[in-house]
Amino acid sequence: MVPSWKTHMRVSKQYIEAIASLAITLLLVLCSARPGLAQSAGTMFKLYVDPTTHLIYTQPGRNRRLFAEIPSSALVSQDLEAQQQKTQQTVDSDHQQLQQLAARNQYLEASNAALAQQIAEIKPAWRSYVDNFQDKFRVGTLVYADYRFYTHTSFQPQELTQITNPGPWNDDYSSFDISRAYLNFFFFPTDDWIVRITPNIYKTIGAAAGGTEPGNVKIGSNTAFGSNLDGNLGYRLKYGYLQYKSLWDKLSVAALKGGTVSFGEIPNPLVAWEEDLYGFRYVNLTPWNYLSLSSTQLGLSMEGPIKPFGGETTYADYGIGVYNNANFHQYEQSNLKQVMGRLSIYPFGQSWRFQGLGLTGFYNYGYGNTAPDSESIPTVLKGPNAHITRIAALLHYSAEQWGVAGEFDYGNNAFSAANMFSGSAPGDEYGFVTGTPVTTGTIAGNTCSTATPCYNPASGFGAQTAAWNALLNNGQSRQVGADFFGHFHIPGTNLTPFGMAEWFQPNNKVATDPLDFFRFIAGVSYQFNEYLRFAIDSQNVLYYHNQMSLPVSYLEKFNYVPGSKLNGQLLPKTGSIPYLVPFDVHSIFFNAEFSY
Amino acid sequence: MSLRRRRVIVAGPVGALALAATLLLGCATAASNQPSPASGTKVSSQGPPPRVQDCAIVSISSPSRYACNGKTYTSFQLTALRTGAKD
Repeated sequence: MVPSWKTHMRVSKQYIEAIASLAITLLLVLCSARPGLAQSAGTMFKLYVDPTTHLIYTQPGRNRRLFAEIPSSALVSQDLEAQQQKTQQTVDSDHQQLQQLAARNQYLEASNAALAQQIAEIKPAWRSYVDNFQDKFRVGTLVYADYRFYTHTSFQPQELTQITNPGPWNDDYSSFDISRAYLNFFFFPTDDWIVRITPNIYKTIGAAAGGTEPGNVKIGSNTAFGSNLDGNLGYRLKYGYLQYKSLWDKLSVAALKGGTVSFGEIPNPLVAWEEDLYGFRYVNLTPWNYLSLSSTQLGLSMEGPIKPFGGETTYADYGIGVYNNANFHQYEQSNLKQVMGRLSIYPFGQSWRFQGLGLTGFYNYGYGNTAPDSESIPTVLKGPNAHITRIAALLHYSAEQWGVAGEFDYGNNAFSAANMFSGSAPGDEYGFVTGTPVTTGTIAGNTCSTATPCYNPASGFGAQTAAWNALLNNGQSRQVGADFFGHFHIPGTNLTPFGMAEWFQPNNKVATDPLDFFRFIAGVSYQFNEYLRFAIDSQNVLYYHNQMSLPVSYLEKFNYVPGSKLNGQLLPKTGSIPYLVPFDVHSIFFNAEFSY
Repeated sequence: MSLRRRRVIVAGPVGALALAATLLLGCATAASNQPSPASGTKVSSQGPPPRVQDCAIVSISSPSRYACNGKTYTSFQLTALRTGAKD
């Protein structure tokens, strides 16, 4: 038999467990039904318990005690189901939205991948274009600038391209100049071909400031426009050519590999080559370029190295071509063409251009740039219609720190009055009368009047201009010259002293030619960096004969016509023409070169 | 107005002074601007890189070319060697 206290304890334990489980159940029910509780909180559902049997009753009775009160709304299953359904709908809706978002995300990811692929496919084409352009095109520039100061001015050839100066009695003249501003465009469409286009600056010379016609333009009967050319810095084409590089490769001539064929507006075989040999073109012109030979003509040329023994050692290089008689800024009038050729031999071989001892010969044969109908007119002396010859023979040695060269020049009709006075000319050379004309009485064998004025040989430069033209432009002139140039780099510095000396006889058929001159340049160059150089130098032209006169009878042998007219004035018919030796020229230049 | 012969042997004292001053200034400037290899110039195992002022000009163009230590370099290559940049 079980003791009563044990029974009581068991009952109590069961009771507590029952109460607890019921309470948890109710709590769960209440919690889950919480939203609907407030709406039906007024109706309460009561539960009763029989402590003896532990049975739960929904109605009161004997031995039953109130056990709990429960809101009836909490026990309505419909609300719970509705709530569950609503919750389920929300969950379903959220799930659906999640699915939609996932699908959308998947779509976007796919689109993104497709777009990335498209970009990846586009990029190579874009890069290919840039790479091709980069590999097949190059642009550069070459600029020469200077400041020059003349302690003594006179008539002379120009020191640099388009550099001009006033003549005698203009001492202390100075000027800032740009004599070159290349825009170098190189195109390499294939490995075999190069196209070069190089516009270059030049100073236009017109008639706006000091001159009259023909620079100015007349329009109709009562209107005229002044020239806008004078002093402007304009651009013109300096180089424009196609170059083929593979001729000797295609023909399997190993000794000539590296040679080129060029067609168009091209450098001739001497000037550009000698400028590089000299190394200071930004300071002054090389000898034949200074005298008359332009650096550029239109034509067809070939040039290249010669490597007769294989390997990379060059033993010679050459340049040969046929060109217009006009230079690159002239209209070609003649029906003939000129030829030029240069051969440089390096007997000990060279591993870089100009290295070591070299012997160079240059030959040029051409004609004056004259139209055929004018050229065919019979004349005693052919003047500008005559043939032109230029010969240069050089002996040169180049090391990395120094270089020296000697040159002998010979020519026929290769130094005209236009060349002599390209830097500064007497006004009478270009139609402007200088000096005081004689309008009454007689002078130098001429009878003068207002209608027929005479040049006074002792006033201005009219008679002298006529004499100089006779000596230079007679069609039978012979030029002889000699030149030396070189440089030496001072070790451990950026300084390189350099110099050039040129002795020249414009016409050595004249017993004593008043125009014989000695030109020399001496200076120091400073290499600032790989692209920029400066120089300060002295440039001089010495007409070294003592002042002299030449008899009219002697000048007559050189195409001088006594008593003829120049610029509407009579030239001396008898006697002598005095003061034929021009003044010397002395100047200081500050030069700069930018090459890129 | 007559032409009188005038002769000047050189460009006068101004020219001579200018040349002398340039020479001296250039030397001084070069000495101060160009460190010797011993004073910090980067020196490779083959020796210091060539400097343009120590080279011979062989072509004045775009770009110019120079001969240094028996080899020919463009101005761009010499810049790259001097600055240590890749060409």
